[in-house]
Amino acid sequence: MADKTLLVIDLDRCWGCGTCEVACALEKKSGPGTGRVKIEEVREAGPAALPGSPQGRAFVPVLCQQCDDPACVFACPAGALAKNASGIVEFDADLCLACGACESACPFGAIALSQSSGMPEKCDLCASRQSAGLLPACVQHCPGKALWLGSSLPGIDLARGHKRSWSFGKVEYRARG
Amino acid sequence: MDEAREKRKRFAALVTGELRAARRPGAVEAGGEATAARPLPTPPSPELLFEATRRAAAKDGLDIIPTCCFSCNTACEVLVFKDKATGRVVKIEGDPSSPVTRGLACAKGLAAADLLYNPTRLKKPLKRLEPRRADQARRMTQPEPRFDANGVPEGWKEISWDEALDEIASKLMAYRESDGAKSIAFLEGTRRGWSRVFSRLANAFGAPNHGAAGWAQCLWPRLVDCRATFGAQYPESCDFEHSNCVIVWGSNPAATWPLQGAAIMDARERGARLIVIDPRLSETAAKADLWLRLKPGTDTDLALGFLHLIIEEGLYDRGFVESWTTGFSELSAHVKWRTPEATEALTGVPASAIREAARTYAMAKPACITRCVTVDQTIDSVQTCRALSILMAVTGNIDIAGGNVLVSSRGEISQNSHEFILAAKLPLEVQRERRGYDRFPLLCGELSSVPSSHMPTLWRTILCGKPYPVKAALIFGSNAAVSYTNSKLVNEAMEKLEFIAVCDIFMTPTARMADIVLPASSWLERDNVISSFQTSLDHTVLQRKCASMGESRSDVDIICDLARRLGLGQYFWKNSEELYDYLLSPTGLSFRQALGKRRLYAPLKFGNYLKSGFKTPSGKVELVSSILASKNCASLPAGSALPGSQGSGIASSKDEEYPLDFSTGARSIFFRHTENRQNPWLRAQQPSPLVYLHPSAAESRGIDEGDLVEVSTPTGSALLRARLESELSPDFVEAVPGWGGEGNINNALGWERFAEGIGTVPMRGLKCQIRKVADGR
Repeated sequence: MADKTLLVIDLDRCWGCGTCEVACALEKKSGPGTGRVKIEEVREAGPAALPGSPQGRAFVPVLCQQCDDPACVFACPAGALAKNASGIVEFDADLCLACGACESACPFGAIALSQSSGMPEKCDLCASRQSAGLLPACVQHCPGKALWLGSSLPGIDLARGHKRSWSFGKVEYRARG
Repeated sequence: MDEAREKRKRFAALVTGELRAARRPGAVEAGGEATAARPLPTPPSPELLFEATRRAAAKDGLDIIPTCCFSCNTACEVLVFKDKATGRVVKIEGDPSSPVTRGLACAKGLAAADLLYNPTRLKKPLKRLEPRRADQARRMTQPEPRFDANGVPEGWKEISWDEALDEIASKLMAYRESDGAKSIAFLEGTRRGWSRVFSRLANAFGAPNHGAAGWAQCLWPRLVDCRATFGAQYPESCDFEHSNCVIVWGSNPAATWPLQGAAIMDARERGARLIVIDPRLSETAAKADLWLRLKPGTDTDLALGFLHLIIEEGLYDRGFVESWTTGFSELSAHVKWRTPEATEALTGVPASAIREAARTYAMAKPACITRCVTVDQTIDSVQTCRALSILMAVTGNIDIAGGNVLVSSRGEISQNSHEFILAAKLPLEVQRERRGYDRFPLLCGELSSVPSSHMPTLWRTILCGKPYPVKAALIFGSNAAVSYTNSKLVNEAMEKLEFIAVCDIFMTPTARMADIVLPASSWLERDNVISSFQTSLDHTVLQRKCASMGESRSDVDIICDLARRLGLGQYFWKNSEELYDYLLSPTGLSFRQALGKRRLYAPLKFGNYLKSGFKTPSGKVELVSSILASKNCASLPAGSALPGSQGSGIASSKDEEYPLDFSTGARSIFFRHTENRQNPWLRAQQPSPLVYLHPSAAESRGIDEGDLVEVSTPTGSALLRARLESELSPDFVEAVPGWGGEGNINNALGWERFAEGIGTVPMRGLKCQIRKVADGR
């Protein structure tokens, strides 16, 4: 599975600034506050090391994991969501019934029905940007350089000090300590 | 909390939990596995990414204009995309080919097209239709201005530039004639590339009362320290790339200076130790190897405690101290009693952590300290800065690779000089009339970056008319009605002014009080030459006008035009481009030629002092400052007295009423000062002003997360939303400043005490009370 990783998120470099959220909302023109990636904090009372934070305050960008067995794909009654050849869960607006089954099914809160169109919005790793040779908007702009496109050669990078890695689908989270 | 947010929070906890466990099925762990050494893929080269960007833009019918953002002082290089057909700016991205930023841009820059297209953007000069007094009720009852179908604010009419500037010029000359130039206040906001041109206008016009909400509270104390201690700005920049230990002293670059934050993350990844000093577990502190949670405002004591340990344990740089400093033995005696235990009693930082931090910094050489506005906002601002500079000096971490370093220009003329602002044009007897001149020589006199008024003193003068009347204000790029402390008094003073002209890009609360409003251009609409220690150690970057909006003009053009109408044309330029040609003239490039090169480069130099010494009276680093002594200021940072000793802990009857420590140091990446609240893309990220407090302080007052909370002091109060953080000290409250209206924490900041010599209004180490208030939400 490791060699199919599409996005690497380095928790040691994410400081939760929210630039990815804004970059995404602007790129997708979906309106203020609608970025398809959201930063969530994990805190542990008192100074306790967490992956990504020696002081116990970690920031985790949460977005579509492009799951290997995507709950949203199984839940969609219209077949509007499907895994494509590169492992991305794709959305077909022509088939969508805007029923919201995908939103309910996603265990990670990574799909939301648009307030305006009623259609689901989720991360596609900026497929159109990538096909033009560009980085996804969040990856390019991340001030902390915490996001990496990992299209072909993932795994642990000892040179960067990564000791731990975990993924549920095609998005890999890494930490040093 | 909505269901999706709950799911996301659970997932985030799952990620950190799984990474910690790291041996669950599906987890990969390093060490000996064949898969372990696989590196991250190398991202596409900057050239390739730029080329792809160019091609994609061409396909979409977009022009790309390279420029740099000025949403904060960093000036990150960005690409502005304009629709070829409509001329509209459709998006802004980081420039992937920039060697300075490596493509990053923060939310403020990405969302900045709103500066052009926000419906409330000012596009034409405006004149008020009724007297300010008649308008007061409307301004009170309508917190936001209303605009008609043509975008003209209610109560205003559009006028021509000639009419607007002629009226301002004739008013300014009339007041100078009747009451002297001292009766006109020249007020400005944060640095934007034209600030010193405005200072030049004040001096050319002969006006001694010139100032800003920052200055004594922002950067000026640091620069006075630089001048007194080193004779140059060594402490303001860090060579993170070669540093073994980085101390972030009281700042949070993750939120306020992303480019610096990225450099610190790089250093940390390389193995440099990161020490963060902050009363709050900030985003930057979250990444620290060592986080020192000091009692707010005790920065000087903590630094002096470091010095005690470093001297006591012989960890200082003997060679440098002996050859290049003065006053070391006096310093040693001065910090003699400041043991880690005594320092713990003053700062609340455990003695063991003080030992570890001081030893780490002193022994890790090269090491650097980055400091920002916090050290300017203590009750002894210049002395806090001095204490840090002395730390850098005795450890020999000055002017070396990996230490604190001197950033100079790439040959262009700096606007930051007394020569540029024509300081000498103001006769001494006029300077002496400057409000605050006698009491605050470090702000009002020749040691100041821009010799300027002590603003609390000037506002009081405006209010009471003594010792002389101040009747008019020319305000450029400053939301004075919001950005000054003691906001209520400042607003009362502004109401008393007979004439106010404001130059801004939005109809701010300040602009609404004006008689004439001039529409300035945003950074997207102006040229600029930017060489700043806040941008880059080795590059000067260039800003190019990308768009124009209505009749708005760049501040430089407005100031030069106004100067001509004031009969001061000989001191100014025809237009902004002529200014930038002049600034670049030593490089042999015109502004247009420089734009073609995108940026100017010259490598950072180390060991500068070896050639020419330090530009202090002694030619050495003055640990004991002769310059400060000559101004009757403490020549060594005094800090607090030992608890229990005479002169310490002056108890006040107000302590019980206002029991909580309080600061206004928290910042958000989405805003700068009072800016950006009008931008829906940024406002959605943080809709209301926040106050951070400990759960126990909240619980005992019946406050829940998100509740509306009144923060009050003897001066006044503000309403902010509670954000509970268990890492805070239970008796500390930290507010985010910069919001207008009821959320303006400046309403609660008074003028009881000022820092010696410079008059800083302290914003750290204050006292407050909080309570839950009824909430219409």
